Amino acid sequence: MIKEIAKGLAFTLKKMGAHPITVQYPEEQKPVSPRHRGRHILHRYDNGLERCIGCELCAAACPVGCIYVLAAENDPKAPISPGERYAERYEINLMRCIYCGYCAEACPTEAITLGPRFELADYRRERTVVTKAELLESWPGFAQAQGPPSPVGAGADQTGREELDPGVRPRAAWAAQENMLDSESAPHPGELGVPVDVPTVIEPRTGKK
Amino acid sequence: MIGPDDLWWVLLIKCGVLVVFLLTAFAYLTLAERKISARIQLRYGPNRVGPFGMLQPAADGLKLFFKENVAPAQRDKILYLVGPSLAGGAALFAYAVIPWGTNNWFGHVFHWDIAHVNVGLLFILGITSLGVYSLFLGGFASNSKYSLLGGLRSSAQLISYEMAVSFALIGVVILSGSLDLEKIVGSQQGLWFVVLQPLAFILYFTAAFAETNRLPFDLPEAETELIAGYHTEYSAMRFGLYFLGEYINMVTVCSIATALFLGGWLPLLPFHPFDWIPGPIWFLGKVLVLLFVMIWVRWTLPRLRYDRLMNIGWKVLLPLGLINIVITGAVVALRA
Amino acid sequence: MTVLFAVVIALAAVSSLGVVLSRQTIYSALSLVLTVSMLAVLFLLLNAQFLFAVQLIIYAGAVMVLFVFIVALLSPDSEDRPTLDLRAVIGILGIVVVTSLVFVAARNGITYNTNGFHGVAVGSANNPYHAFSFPQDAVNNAGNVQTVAGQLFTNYLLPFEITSMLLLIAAIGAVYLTRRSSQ
Repeated sequence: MIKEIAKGLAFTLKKMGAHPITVQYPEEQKPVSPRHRGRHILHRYDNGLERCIGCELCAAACPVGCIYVLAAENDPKAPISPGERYAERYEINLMRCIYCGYCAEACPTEAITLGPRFELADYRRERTVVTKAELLESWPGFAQAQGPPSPVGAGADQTGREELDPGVRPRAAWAAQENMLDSESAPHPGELGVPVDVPTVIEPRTGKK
Repeated sequence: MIGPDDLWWVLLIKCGVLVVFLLTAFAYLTLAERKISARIQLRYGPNRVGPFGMLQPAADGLKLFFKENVAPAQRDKILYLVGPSLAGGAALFAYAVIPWGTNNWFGHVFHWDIAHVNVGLLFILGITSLGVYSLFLGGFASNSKYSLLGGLRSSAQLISYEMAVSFALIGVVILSGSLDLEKIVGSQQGLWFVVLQPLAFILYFTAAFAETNRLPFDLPEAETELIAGYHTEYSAMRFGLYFLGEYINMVTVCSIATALFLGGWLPLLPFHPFDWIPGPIWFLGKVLVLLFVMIWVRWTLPRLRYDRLMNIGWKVLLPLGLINIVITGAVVALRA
Repeated sequence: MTVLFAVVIALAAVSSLGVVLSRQTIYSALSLVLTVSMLAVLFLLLNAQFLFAVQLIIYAGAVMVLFVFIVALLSPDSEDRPTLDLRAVIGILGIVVVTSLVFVAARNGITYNTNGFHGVAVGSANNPYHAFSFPQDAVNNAGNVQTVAGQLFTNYLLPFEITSMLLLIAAIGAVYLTRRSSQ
């Protein structure tokens, strides 16, 4: 019995000298896994066009009903998305969302995915309803700036989609987008590269589309 | 000539210093326990409140002061308050006779203790006997089943292990020929008693765990068994006083072990590099080592079931103590 | 020192009154604990440090713990407040008479004074272990415990052994009486 007690004491003494395995949040952060479901990201194609075509499949698939999509017709001379429609308003109530990923599974163009960002607390309730302005990635690769770097690689934040949409020629589409947005250059990380005249809706979802 | 020990205001200052020291020791002992237990469990302890969590005890103390005092409605109102007061009071009181050293300043002897009592060891045993009432009254006055059971178990455990403590200490008394703690430390000049009485030291230290209700002997206050035993129904500062009593009892018990077995204020070896460190610092160092061992053991060993706990107290520690007394007495008598 | 003495005496008197007059039995038992502790402090004030410690350990710390356990667990019924009838009056008169007798005896020297406790000297008069006179300096030099031990094991050996036998008989009797009858 004495030997077992001594062995136990020696073990704990050894552990006292070992380095703790605690991650001192928030100074250090554990990297999230590649399939981590955090805050949503509305993606673009690499030519700058938005992937979202305003089909509202994500809103239909959502078990909670926290997505609001308002579709509008694409102007053929200055298309926002490579299709007939685009999402004029796209809002998600982050407090209702259960981060299940059904919207990402339902999306036909892989426009909406869930990214690595999980620090979503706020002091004001209205700030937890994110609008398209906050969801849209500003340029391809914006998602990497949102959360802690993933150990797997930079492309992991975007669920590994690689194929380009062959549609409109990239530079023309981007130029069209630029003119529409009325901005002088590529968006900065701080701003989300969103047209400021897109109105945001703050009232809760009332059931009317 | 009036020496410094005879002046009443020196006594008052000594009392004040001791109380401040014990309260600080209690506060930082809780922090040390949390940090050491954290390191054993591969995590950091509290490290947010101050540098290395140094202000955590202050935060805890403030929290305890401001908490709401939730108390059962049917409690015995007087005894409910007597319990924690007696716990804190007895723990502080017992420290009055523990000698931290003696110094000879300008021909006067200055004792680093509050009361130089002829029968210091018996005094400490007496005060710890009185401390049993605090546990029992706390359990009884709370008017709750778990408290009463916990109080009964705690008191029974304490009075059983008092016997084991006394028997372990008698060996030391035989060797040193005195109950005066200062003389006992003085008679360890050649060889510390831990070398001459290893069995007594182990018995005393084991019984000390039971006397302070520490793991592995803490079934009476185990969270999973009796909620919290006798202090279930106490909150805020009243619980703080029980907590204080327990931790200061730890300090007292380690101080007694240091004074009786580890040579008190005597340096490790009696020559020069060790001599330059003053006696009280040696005492403090040894007490800290023993406190570390108490915390280390707590977070290593599993808890003893209550009947096995009483079994060990009466059927193992007591006979071993008797054997120790017989052997020690025989050796001393045969050598004289 | 006199102030301390007065405080201790007052507390002892109040708590002993509490033993008798408390409505709840547990308060009686705890008042008795306080009385016994105050007696211990009186011993300390009379420079009998060993008796102080022993009184605390044995009386207040063991015997009274037993009392308190029993009272708290078996909860004897609390009685009504005592009434001032003939029995109570006779009791109080008796207490007054006995206390006065004790006072008179104390003032007339049947107690410890600076010349020691005078009685028949047994053995060598200079050895505090074997003498009957206990001057304070001799006691302090020899040590409180040593003096008591010296008396207990030489002059009072027979009562000591008889008391030990009595305690042993009591312990054996308790074990026997509370044994479970084997089927």
